[in-house]
Amino acid sequence: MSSEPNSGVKTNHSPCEELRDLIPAYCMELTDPEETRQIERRLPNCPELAAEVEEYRQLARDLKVSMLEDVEQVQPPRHIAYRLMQEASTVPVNTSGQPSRRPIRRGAWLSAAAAFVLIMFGAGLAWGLSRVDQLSREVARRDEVLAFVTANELVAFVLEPPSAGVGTPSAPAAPNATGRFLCHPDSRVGMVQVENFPPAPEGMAYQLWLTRDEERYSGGLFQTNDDGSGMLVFEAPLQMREFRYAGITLEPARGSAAPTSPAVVRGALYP
Amino acid sequence: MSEQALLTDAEIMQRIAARDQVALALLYDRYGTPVYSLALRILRQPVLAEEVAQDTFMKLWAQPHQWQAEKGTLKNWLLTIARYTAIDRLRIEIRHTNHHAPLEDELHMAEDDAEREVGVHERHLLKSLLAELPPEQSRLIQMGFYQGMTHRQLAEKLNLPLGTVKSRVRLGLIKLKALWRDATRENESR
Repeated sequence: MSSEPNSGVKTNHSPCEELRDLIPAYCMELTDPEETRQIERRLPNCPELAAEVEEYRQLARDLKVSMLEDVEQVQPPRHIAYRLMQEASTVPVNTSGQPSRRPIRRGAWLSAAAAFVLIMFGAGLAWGLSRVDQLSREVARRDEVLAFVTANELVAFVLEPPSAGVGTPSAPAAPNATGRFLCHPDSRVGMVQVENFPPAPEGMAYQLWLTRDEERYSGGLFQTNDDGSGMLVFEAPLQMREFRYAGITLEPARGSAAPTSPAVVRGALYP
Repeated sequence: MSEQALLTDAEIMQRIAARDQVALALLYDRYGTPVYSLALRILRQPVLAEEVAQDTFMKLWAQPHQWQAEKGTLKNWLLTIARYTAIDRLRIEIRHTNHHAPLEDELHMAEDDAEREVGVHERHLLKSLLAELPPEQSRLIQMGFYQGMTHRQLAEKLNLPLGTVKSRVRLGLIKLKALWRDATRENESR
């Protein structure tokens, strides 16, 4: 019995032709270990196959990425986040790059608690995220935040593209864009998460607006990721319950004093 | 407004490299669902999928510098780590302990696999082309990928002759490559 790779088809090929039959499966990592070793040993002797190998490798890379994302999305249980934060507190990075264990320090536990709160509190509502040293203050507030979570008082408002004809002269620029406005009515901190936003042109950014009667406030600027998602955590001058509407517009990257373009998404907040 | 915070993936990774646990929490918030979903797709058991999701983010936490933005998106990199981690776990579960890749290898493999950027349109196109293959061919390709199985393991699992499995995989991938090439050329000529 031959120990040469067997494609499962014809066997009267030249050695390189036999190898050619296995290239697709080899590039997709479907060949058995012994086959793989033989292919890798013999490939250098078949330079005429180099281009084909590269083509299949490229196809395999694209196909893998496609299949990685082509999965039904299932919401994970929330305790994973808590366990992750706990474990991260106990596993510092060492020089070898391998995780090592150490006892949980009180400070580390508090950080884990704060991070956990951020996840629990509306999937990532992060106080003072832009300053790491502010974490201690966040920890000091954790009881208050935990009380919101425990009492299930977090509120999520939907932001949608404005309908054509309702205060807008034409169809929305991004009809698939969506947003979530997460807050607690007594808090001045809020967060917006957006999806399916078109990329902001060079020199432009998205700006959040909050309105209260005739007053309008800027909630800050943000950019989106390549997939059209984005997030902004902000602190307003008033409690969230004071605001009636929120909207997001495309503005110059430095921000505008007032909206200069139609809202990409908008929605009603507290009546 | 006294505070605003916008973090891109790259900025979150910078903070994780600086051991900012809040950034890890935010990253989990952003990608926990696709990572868990992929692990569940491979393992079919929620308890195992939870462990894999946690392990995946811990690997990133332990070695954040392994991700290089210029080589691919963070999401693809994380999903690739999750896939290898889940397949390893699957192999352990079914007592196939050979070819168990250690952590460092998984991260390097993830880097290789996530290297190419694939746009949304291309992903949908490949998905539709895969669906054009005869079902017996696409099934083997997908089983091999999601469960990390080789020709021989697929043959054993499906109780098929080894030669049949090899032929179906080969013909399926040859056809897929031809369809992909034609579709790509069509797009380029537009």
